[in-house]
Amino acid sequence: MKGIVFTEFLDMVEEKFGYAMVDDLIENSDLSSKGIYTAVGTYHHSEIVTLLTNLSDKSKIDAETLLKSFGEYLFETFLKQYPQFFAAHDDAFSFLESIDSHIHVEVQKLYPEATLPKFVTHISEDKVMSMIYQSERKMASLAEGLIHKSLLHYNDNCKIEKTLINEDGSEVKFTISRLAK
Amino acid sequence: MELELLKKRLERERAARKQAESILEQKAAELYEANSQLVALNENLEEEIKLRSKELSDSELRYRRLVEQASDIFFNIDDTGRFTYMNATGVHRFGYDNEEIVGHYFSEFVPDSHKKDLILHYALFMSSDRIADYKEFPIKSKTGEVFWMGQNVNRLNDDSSKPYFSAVARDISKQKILKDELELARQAAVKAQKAEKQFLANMSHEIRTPLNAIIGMSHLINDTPLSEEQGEYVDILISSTGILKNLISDILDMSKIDAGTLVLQEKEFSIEKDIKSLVRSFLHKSKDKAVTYRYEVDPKIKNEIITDQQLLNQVLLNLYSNGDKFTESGSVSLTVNIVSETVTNLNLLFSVEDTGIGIDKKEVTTVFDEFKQANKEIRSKYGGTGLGLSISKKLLNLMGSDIKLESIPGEGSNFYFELSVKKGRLLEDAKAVDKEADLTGYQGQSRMILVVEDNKLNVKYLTRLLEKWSIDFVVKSNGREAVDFCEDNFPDLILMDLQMPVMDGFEATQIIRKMDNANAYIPIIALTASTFLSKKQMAEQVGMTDFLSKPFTPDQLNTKLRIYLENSPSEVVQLNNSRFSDKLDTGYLQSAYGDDAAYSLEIFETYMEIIDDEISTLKQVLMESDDGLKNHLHKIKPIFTMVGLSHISEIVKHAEQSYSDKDNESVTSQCHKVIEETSASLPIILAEIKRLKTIV
Ligand code: HEM
Repeated sequence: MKGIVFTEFLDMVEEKFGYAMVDDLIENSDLSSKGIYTAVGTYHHSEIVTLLTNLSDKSKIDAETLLKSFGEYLFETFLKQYPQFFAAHDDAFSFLESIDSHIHVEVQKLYPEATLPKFVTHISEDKVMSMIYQSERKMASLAEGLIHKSLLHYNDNCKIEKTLINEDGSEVKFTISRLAK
Repeated sequence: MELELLKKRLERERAARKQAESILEQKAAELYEANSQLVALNENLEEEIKLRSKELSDSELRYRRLVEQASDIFFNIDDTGRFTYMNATGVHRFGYDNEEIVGHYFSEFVPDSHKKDLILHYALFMSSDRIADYKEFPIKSKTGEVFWMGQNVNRLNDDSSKPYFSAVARDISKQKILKDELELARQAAVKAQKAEKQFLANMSHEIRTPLNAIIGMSHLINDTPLSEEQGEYVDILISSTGILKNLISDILDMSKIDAGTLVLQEKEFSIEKDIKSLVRSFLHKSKDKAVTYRYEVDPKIKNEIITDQQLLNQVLLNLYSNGDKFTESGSVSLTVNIVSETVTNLNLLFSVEDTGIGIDKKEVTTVFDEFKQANKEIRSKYGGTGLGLSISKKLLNLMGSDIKLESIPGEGSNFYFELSVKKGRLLEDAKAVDKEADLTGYQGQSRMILVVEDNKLNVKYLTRLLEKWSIDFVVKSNGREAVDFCEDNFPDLILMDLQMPVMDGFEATQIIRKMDNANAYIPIIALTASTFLSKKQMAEQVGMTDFLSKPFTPDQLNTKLRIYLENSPSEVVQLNNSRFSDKLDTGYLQSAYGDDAAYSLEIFETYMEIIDDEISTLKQVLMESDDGLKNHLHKIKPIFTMVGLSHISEIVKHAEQSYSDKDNESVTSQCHKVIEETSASLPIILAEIKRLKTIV
């Protein structure tokens, strides 16, 4: 997994819980990277899982909620770092559609070692968008946070429904319905 | 504690920075490496491009030299029709300087007479979707001399996709002259050939008309009370005129064989009768020679034979007269023997043997050449055209046979050939039928026939026959009169001469066929003295029903009348009632084919085509002792039923039964019975085919 995910995650922890928590997490998680992350590096995916579980234990907040918040946090970073991806779209649906067909494609080109999720999207009559998340890393909640923020960003008044297609979370369906303004 | 934490944090950030630096350094190294590879690649590419460009310009140079020095003329023209390039050969041939050509219109170099043609031609080419074109044009060179240029023009597109034309051309003046001369020669030849054909056609007509009268009159004399002696003389008169008629056709045939227009016309006849009358005509002819005229026909021949009687007679007559001509004493004999026999066919060996002067070995090969007799002395002594043997050979070739010759000088010659013929009716049956059909009179309902003929002798011949058969008739002497007659009268049949004054038979038929009365469908039989296929085709085209070649015998006319008068609508019902021969399983045939004569004819004809093979296979599998026999019996069983030979199918069924009972003796005897019965039933089938043909 790309370093940016780790550095941002730890930044979020610092912001929300203070550096003591960051230190605590690093000291008490058995990480092969010793918690030394840089955006340009690549680290094993299990480390983010370890960090997340430990944070959940320590903060008594469940992991999914944490992951969703991380998604929301990450969105701001993406928005700052890659404004061009957002500027290309006028509404949330078309932006969300472009993740799988464009954004992640570009990401993959830039970082061949990145392991990205697959999104299968479908828009019916401009009202409802379904987005099926498929990934062995089972981080649908991260997606949920990202989607949520995207909708806010485009000022699109929508309701998000989340359904597990596969019980282990490797395949999850988001149904995003536009509400009357 | 705070401090401790801060220290750790700094420590980690320093470590992260170091990590990042080392990653970046590594990336930078990779980048540097990739870059230098790119540079090398680029250099290689540039090298390659330089090499290729040089090769290209070299080959361009070579190509340009080739074009410049080629013996053909090369030029390019833009889409307005102006020259943009011309090679040295072209410039030289045109006789102008390069600057006087490039930039100038093509049309400037073409004589006025062809300018329009040129402009039109290439306008058409440009608007078509063709990309290549060949055309010949005269070109006026600077000296004023005009030469013909044949040019292959290709349409191409330049870089800006504007079309231009690239041409390879050649001075073709010499070929052109040659071609024109050849064309003139060809036209002359075609004309000569046409004239020759016309001459033959005319001659055929001119000779046949008087001959027709002689034959007709001889027949009429024969119908008057005559003494025995007179009767015999008239018989000879009739057969000799017949021979003469044949001879004339034969000479015409020679030209037709050579022109490839002769068509075989099969007929069913008794070979014995045929040969008898042929040989008998010699008995009376040469009473002053001590020569015996003999003939012998294999008594094993039980059927009439089906082949082209006229051609066969011509061959036999030629050979026999040839033998007679060169024989002063001794004998001339004609023999026919069966070489082999199948259910449907006979292979006959004909031989004409004489005891004459014979032919030298070295001349044996040349006697069949046209206009060649063995030598000059012979010609002056014996006379003749020398066509006979060569016609015979050609005719036999046409019939799928070939003539052979064995000869000993001073002792005699033997001309012989093998001919495969189809089997016809059994001779016994034929005799019975002939008696029936004897000209005792036409027994139909009362009928009226319109005879359209200008030749008085022919009219007499025809009307006497019709009177004899008690058939009413009206005579009109040209097409105009016939047409007028047909406006308000309704004959049952028209006999129409083709060549007549005022209006010929073709035109009259065309008019009658367009009438809006019943005459539009009346049978019209053309009477033609021409045996040329084209006349017959023409007759068919204008709507004639059938034709009868003049001169015709009473028998031939009678046959035609029977076909067309009996088949007129009022009697069709009656015909259908008395359908299949009662020697056949009429119940089955009626139920299988009903009134569909065409269908049953097809089945019967197919039967004739396959039965020979089936029977010989049966004979063969009978000798072998495996399942072949069983399978074959099963296969042929239904074939017989289909043509109403149910009793043979029954025998096959018995044979099959005996086979499964392993009663070998009985199987063999039944199979032989099948073979015999098949043979015996053949005349019935043939008669049936003949009958069906008159209906269909
Ligand atoms: C400019 C916008 C975005 C950029 C540049 C971006 C880039 C990335 C990168 C670099 C990763 C890490 C992959 C790895 O290291 O193996 C990632 C993972 C991921 N991205 Fe995005 N992303 C963008 C927008 C989004 C959005 C809007 C969504 C929400 C639907 C999304 C969903 C995910 C998820 C769920 C993962 C986790 C990997 C997984 O589940 O397999 N991304 N993305």
